[in-house]
Amino acid sequence: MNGWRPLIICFACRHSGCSAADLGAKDYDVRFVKVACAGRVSPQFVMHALQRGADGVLVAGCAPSECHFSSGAYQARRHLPLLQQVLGFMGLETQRFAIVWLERAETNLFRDTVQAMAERIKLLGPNAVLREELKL
Amino acid sequence: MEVVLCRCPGAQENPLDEGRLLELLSKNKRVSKAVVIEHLCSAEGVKRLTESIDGGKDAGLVVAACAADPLYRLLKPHLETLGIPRQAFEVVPIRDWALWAHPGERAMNAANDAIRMATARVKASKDIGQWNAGSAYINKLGCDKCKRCVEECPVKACVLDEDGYPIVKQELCQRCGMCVGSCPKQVISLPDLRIEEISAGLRVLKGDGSEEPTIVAFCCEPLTFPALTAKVAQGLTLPNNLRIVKVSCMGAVNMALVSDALSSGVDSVLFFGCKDGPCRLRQGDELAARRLDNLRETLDRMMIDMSRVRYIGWPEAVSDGVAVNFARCNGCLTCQAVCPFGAVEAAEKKVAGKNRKVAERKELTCRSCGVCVASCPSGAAQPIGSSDRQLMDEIDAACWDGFQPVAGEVVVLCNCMGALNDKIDFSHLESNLREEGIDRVLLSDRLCAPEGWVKVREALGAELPHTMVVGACAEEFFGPRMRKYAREAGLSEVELGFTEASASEIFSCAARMKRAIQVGQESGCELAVCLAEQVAALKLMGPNPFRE
Repeated sequence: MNGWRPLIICFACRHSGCSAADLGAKDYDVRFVKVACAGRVSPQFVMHALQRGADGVLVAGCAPSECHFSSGAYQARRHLPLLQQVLGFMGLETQRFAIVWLERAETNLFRDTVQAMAERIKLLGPNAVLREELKL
Repeated sequence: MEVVLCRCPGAQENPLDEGRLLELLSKNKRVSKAVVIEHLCSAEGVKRLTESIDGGKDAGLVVAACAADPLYRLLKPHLETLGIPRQAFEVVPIRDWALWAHPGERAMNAANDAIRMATARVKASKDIGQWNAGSAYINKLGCDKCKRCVEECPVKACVLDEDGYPIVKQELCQRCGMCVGSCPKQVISLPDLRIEEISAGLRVLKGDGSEEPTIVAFCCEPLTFPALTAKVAQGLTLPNNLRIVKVSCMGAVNMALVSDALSSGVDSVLFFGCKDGPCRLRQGDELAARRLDNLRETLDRMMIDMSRVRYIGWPEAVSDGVAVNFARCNGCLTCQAVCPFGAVEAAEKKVAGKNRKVAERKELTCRSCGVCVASCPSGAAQPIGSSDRQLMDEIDAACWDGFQPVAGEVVVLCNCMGALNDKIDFSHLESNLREEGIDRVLLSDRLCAPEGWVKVREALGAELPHTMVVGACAEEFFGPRMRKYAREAGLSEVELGFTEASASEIFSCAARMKRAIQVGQESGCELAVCLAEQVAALKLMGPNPFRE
């Protein structure tokens, strides 16, 4: 636990405009994997990141009415919450996975979400279940 | 109306002659006050801006600077506190559209023209309460219930109310402006697209008074505006009197604007739209083509030659499409159900000797959003350039704790003449990077100009690194320009990765680039091993008996 910093992998839609610049000084790591649309993120990616040692996974997409690909975010909004349920069903910590829909006008929402998520993950501790027991 | 010119200190490559421009602006009756402020993109610049302008409800503000979109987002909250409504505020990108696009003396005319158009537009703007919602607004007083908007709305957000007037469904409206372009009475507006405003801007367009024709070019926001900006950044020079008007889509240009512009003395109107169908907002190009066809009659009556109006199709380079592996496709057609653009087609294909039903992609319609890929149960569909495998590799790189930066790992940070000092603590960032093991951090100025890169080249010395991570602002905007300057400064061999100036982003960018190279080398090694094994096996077997 000494010197442990939560590592959050953020799947960010290229059009949502969220970036590391929105995050201030911090005691956690956020690394970005840019995707064309939130609808591109398949549950497989989320599981893969968790198995490879991410302590949390965040999907950041545009608000469905502002999706660059008209209905991509809508598809994501249908299938990603399902994954959250599956995680719970498998006995994993559902709090390690979060989704945020960003509207262009809201600048602080992304930062607040990441911070809240980091706080939750700090309480949970490092991602041991997936990283050690179910490691790829 | 107030005009603010942004001065970029230290800009040596075609700097703006503010004195001349202020003199030209003083002839503009709409401008009540024009000031020059240094570095609007910094916190200090914003502070000076809020101090120097008067604000108030009837005020308007035109800011002439570079990187219009990021700056607009930066300034918007400050202007709201001053009481300037968002319709009465515009950022004119004079650095890219005047200084880069027009050489020498012509840049001054272009800048002046662009500012004049913006002031006229802002003057004609109106703050209407309904627009806070953000969707299209229909002025029923002028509507004659022709239902054109209901027919042409690509998302069916325009519906008729009980009295037969069209109303806009807020939750469906995608703000594409097709209805604005369709309305023969010109009574439909979007918050940032009003026919009156654009027309006011076009009417004041003068050109430089020479023989050169004045041209108005409509550029669409999703495709041609950024594409043209990138071309200009790479060194394209525009015709003398070409003036750009940004609209959401070619389908949002009302033909009244074209005949207006032509009758007020503009020599030519160009439509820079997408080519062969992949309109990002759906049908915009078709609608524009159909309306241009209908315009011919009007222009004939006005005795104007139709060849003055031209649609120029811009091939879309961004979308690589989705490749389908037919051997894997099981023909379930889930992709057809989820595709936002109807780009999936069921087809019969001969796969492994048997005719099977598979899902094909229409290349022109597909925009590689990847929604179908996320839903494909068999993994047959993969976007070109960002396949599942590639994204997984990227995830691996991001989670990879095996990345050990070697000595001499180079990171270049741009601190914009010290303007970013109040936003980013560079010494903290540098020490963070050192902790991570990256020991060569160069702090540079003005990477958006050639001098910056010449200095970087000097600082690097004789031995060039293979990869270099650049932390600078507005990559999507300055990226092409920075690559151009880097090439010119002799860094064409170095692979550049752009990222934002935060320790973890820089670190993961460096890890990503290193890992890409490592993966390449690994697969190369495997190939060598395989070949060696094969050669050894052949030697054991002896020569082929068929040889004799």
